Amino acid sequence: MLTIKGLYKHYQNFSIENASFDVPDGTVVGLIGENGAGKSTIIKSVLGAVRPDGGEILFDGKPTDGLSKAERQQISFVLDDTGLPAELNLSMLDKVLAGVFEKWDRAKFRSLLQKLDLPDKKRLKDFSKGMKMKAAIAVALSYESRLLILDEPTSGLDPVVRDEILEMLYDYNRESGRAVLISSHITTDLEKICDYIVYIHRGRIVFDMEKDELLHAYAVYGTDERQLAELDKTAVVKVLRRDYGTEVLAVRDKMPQSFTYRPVTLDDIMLFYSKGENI
Amino acid sequence: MRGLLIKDFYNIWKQGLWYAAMIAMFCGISVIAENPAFSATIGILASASVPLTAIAYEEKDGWQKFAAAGGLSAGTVVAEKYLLGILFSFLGAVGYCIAFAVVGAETAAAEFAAPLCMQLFAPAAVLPLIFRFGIEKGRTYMIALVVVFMLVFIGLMPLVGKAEISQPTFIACLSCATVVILAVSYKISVAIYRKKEF
Repeated sequence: MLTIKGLYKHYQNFSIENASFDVPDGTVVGLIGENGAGKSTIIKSVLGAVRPDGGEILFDGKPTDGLSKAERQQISFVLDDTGLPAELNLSMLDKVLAGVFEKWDRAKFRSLLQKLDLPDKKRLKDFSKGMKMKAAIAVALSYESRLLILDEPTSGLDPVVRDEILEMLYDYNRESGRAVLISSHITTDLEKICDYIVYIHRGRIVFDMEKDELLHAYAVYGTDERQLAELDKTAVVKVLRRDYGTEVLAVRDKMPQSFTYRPVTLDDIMLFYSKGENI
Repeated sequence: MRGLLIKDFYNIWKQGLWYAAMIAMFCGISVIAENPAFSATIGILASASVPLTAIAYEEKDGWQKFAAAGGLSAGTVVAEKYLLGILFSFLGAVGYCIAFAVVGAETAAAEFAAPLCMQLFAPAAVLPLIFRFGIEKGRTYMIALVVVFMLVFIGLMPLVGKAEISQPTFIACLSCATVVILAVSYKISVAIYRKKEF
């Protein structure tokens, strides 16, 4: 559904370089990476809020910069700062967005507000962060889209609200012909709902893998320097040396059976890639 | 466009009412002082300031990113701000016309038309700067622009007095120039907005 090919975007102190990945129909793709890794730049490039310096972004095979308004509105979105007018209440917002989105569904918006327990006469600036994010998701789900893109939707929210949001994404994706791209550095959320994980580090895609395969392929091993020296170098992905010992992110199939390990998490992978060393 | 206008009216209704009250008040002052210039000035101020206020809200809310992601073209977003300025220039024009009808009916027609054109010229001059530099810097440049225009205007005044142009010709030229300036300003603003990133 969405294809990003060789995306390049240069800023003064930062670049996205040759970023490529797909968001296939019917999947949830998680874009993970540290703060400042380039997740938001990629998402803003897809949404047309940033102009890439190179590469291609295709939606159903068509370049996104050539999409008509109706085609572009098949991509719904939740921005990290929501972008909604803070002086308005949700009743006003409903009238505004009915004039912005061609397929705005007022009945659906109303029912989502009820479901999410959002007051329609309170101004958005008086909402809590969780309420604002729920309102942004209600907006994104109230017009007929096929691709939902979310930039850090669960950041700074309590576990209850985060769970509600993940539930809504799960429901959205259950209908056929839809897909979700979600960026977050709260990787536990992504482990729950994603089919694919794309990891971006310092502007470069490190891997793009099926989540289950990824979590099965790697493991974390505790070693010492002597054991480390004896290991198959192709098995070791990254080494993290700490005061209390050395940990290794390694390919499970290539490691000796005698080594004890713990299953890897997406947090581990991010930590190893950002702080670990190669051997 | 309709959605954007509704949003801006919700956002700026307090300021809009304030300007409407100011236009009414300055209309009254013009009548009392028997000088329509007061009424003309507030109209110029309103037509330039209201779109600026609307843009300031958009910048604060991050709406411009939302609009881009929502598929709204640069042309639509920019046109709506010009329309907002033109709507308030009409409101200012109503106040000015009332004041002029009461105190200035014997004055030359050109003197009547010039401030009305200025009310349309004001957003045309200001909006490209605001789209280019944003509200904070744009306001500073706007003040500099006003000073430049004032100096040019003062410099040209003696020439205007000496020029032998008939009233209808002057009004026609002024009206055409206003339309052309608005159109060129709009094109420049769209070109600037297309290059923006959010």
